[in-house]
Amino acid sequence: MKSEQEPKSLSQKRFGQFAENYVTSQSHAKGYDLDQMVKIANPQADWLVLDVATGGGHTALKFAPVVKKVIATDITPEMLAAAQKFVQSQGAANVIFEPADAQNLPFEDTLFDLVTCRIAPHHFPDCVRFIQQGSRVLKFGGLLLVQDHLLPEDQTAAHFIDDFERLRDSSHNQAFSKSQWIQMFEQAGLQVIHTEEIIKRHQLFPWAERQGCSPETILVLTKMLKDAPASATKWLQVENLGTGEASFVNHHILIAGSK
Amino acid sequence: MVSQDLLDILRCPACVRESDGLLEYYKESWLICQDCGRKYPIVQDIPVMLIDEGDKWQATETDRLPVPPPEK
Repeated sequence: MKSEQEPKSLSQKRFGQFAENYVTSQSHAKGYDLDQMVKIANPQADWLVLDVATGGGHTALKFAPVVKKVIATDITPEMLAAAQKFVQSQGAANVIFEPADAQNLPFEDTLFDLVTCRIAPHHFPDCVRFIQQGSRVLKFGGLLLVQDHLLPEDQTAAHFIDDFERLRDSSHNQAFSKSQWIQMFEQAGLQVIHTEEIIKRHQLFPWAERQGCSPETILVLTKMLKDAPASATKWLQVENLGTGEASFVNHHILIAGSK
Repeated sequence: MVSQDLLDILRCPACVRESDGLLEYYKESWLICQDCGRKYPIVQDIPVMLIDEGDKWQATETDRLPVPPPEK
């Protein structure tokens, strides 16, 4: 069994290495999901917002113009520096950057109107603890808004997809199904007010290359898709396998819980 | 210089779940937990509020803390 520190170190190493990629990644920078987060949150001008594991800073930047202040945190110093450079270059002056661990947030209780975390919890060693920490720092009536990978309820397919993702990115720790997400929110004292599934199609080769996969690893990923259990193939909607245009979909959940 | 707004809301990440985790602002360079004595460096005006960082300096006497803290 991996220690808690091991996935954190892996994340710091990998995100330090690929920090600029996440700043420039179009799938992280914009899209329906980011717009939808703002729509669900309905942010107000006097809000204090915490963006956990800010990555390239795109979520912080999206909310900054419509709230009082955003505190953007990340455990990886290089990632935080890249996000700060990017966000400040876009003219957002109300974003504060602070190194912090999602599972040990360094803030007092009942502070924030909104806590966001986008496409990061699958890296966390203990997602339950992150949700509990997010809930702790929320004001009563505040909102925890998370977007992350979504796994099918079918355990065989879920394990396969976690393994597939982990081969591409060793800092991928664990993703969750919809029922698991709802359970984590409810156990942290949050009432789930919104869930939605977002599907994105990825071209296998650029998707793997973005994380620095070697040609040999991409071959193994291709073979994994070829030999995948039927339930996983159905979930991933694999197309054009064996060609340069091989693609599949991954599923995200957008989940919001009110304290 | 770290903004007062940020200083007001920061707490020791190791202690805040169980106690107050209140921090002493020391020589504009450190935040010292009043509960556990972990000492968090402020590097280039950014408090590094990671438990591992606090651990490194927990046993160091306050008057022996380097000012400014080392960057790495």
